Amino acid sequence: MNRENRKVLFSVICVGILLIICPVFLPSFGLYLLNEMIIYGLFSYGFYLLFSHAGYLSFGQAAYFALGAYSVALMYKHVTVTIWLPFLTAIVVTAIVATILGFLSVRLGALYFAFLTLAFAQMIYAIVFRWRSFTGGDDGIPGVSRGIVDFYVMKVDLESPMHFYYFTLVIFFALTFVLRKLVTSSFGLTLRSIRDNIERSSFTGVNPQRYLLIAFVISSIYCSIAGALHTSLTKMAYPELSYWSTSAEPIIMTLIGGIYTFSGPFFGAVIYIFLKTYVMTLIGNWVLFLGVVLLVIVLFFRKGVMGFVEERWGANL
Amino acid sequence: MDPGILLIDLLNGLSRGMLYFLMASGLTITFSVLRIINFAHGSLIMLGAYFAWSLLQLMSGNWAFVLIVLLSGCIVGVIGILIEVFFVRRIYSSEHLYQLLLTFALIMIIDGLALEIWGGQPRTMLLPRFFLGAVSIAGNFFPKYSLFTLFGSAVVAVLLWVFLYKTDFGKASRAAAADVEITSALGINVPLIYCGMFAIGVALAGFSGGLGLAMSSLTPGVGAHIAVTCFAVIVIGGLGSLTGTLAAALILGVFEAFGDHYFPQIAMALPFIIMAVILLVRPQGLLGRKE
Repeated sequence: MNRENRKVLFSVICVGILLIICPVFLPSFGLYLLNEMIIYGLFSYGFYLLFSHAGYLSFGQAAYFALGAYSVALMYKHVTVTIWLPFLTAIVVTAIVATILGFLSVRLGALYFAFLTLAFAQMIYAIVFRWRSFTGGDDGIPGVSRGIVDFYVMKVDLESPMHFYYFTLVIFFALTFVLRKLVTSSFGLTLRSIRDNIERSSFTGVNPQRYLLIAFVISSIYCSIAGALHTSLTKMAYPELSYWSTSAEPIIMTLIGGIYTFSGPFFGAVIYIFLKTYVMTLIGNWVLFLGVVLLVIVLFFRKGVMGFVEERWGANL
Repeated sequence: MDPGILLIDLLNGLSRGMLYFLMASGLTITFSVLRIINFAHGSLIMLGAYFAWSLLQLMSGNWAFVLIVLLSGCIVGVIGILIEVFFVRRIYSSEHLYQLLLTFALIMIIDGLALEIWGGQPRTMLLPRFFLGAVSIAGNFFPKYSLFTLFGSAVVAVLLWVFLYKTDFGKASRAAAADVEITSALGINVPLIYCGMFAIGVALAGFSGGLGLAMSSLTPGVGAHIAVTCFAVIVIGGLGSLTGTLAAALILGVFEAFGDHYFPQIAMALPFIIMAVILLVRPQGLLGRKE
């Protein structure tokens, strides 16, 4: 193991241990924030796979965030509070919708993709908003349960913040591990070849549309799971979850963190949630603030925070 | 079915379609010359409507309203020049992704500023009496304002055509759309054309906002909704084709007018349905060229 890998492993273990032991010392609000950071980190990873590796910028991942949220909220409410079936529903529904809309969106290149994802997400927002009898319209679904994990030999009630935190953390660790494996595999390499030159990669016998569609569906499932966890944490589902301003959040988090670093989306989420909690009240006009932040990053600070740290620390984080 | 009512529906659809054309044409022009999709286009349309609303508080009278619509287009156009000079100009040479992100950031900035200036409560324009009421066409009533929109949009569409095909600037910009390098080799000031066409695209947005949103209530979120309609129009018509944009806008407008009347449950989904069908059957759009 060389010096650089050791540095990476050391950082990962440090952050992992921090995430595991932190809740013991944190007050309940701190725990809630940390939980939110992890969920948004997952949401950002969904966006990151498509954006950083395939070069496809989706302005509509909120649609899948909301699909996950509403699937789980409705299942908890009407069917069962055991987590398995609701989460499975969220994943299946997302996969079906993402396959259909993704098929229409990836065919015509990255530019079309950007505004088609936005348009389809706004369509889903309109459906959620209007279909009052099913989704509750603009009232949303209040009082969502956090579910129960049923292992047959034992049951864990997620209503307790601590239990729910560790439940989220396990999912987060598992999904980031899978994503890491995915982007370092030949699948990740193929996506990056498509990003760098779509024509050349198709000359090597790759079908770019198929790879992009698969990446889009995986990305959407990540967003969906994040949405499902978010609705459990906040105990409600509401139409704004699918609005374009929600799609902007993982974009900004990933950019703050650094688009070409693996740890960027997570640390971007940490910084974003921190700002949102402590700065929003000072500023008042959050949308304007976010717009300015995004503008500044695009014009002057494209490598992001972790890109900056990488340069100093000398390791690919 | 009563042919008189069908005629009214058709006129309604044409009026709406011409407005959609006006809204989306700026996007098409900007794209065909600068190769940039301006995500903030919908927000700029909204901004035009807000300016018209504010000006309407200051001025009254039938002709003043026409002036107000023109003026709000001009103000938004000037804002377009500032946006081009300070922001968009810096990223022509960047990757596509950064161009998209920049105009996306502009949506948030414009929406945020609109919230700051005009507040979150819905604003409705108080139109001069001349534009209220209806005229009788073949025994049926047709709103006067829709007639005004139809004519207003048609006049602007003709002016746009004259500008693009008959003036030197328009010809030079079409040349720049076809081949930037050759155009600049011929001694044409391409940065000026870029700035000018961006500003004209944005001014069209402001103008269509002032004209088109007079009948609906304004909130800072309305821009995103309009942007989506514009995207539907340019996808259906074919990216970069102005004739395609006109055809798509009219088709969408007429379909929506009939949909509103006969199938109100699915009228809202019509743009998406038409867009999905086009993407499946003819991905490059009605009059778009295959890349």
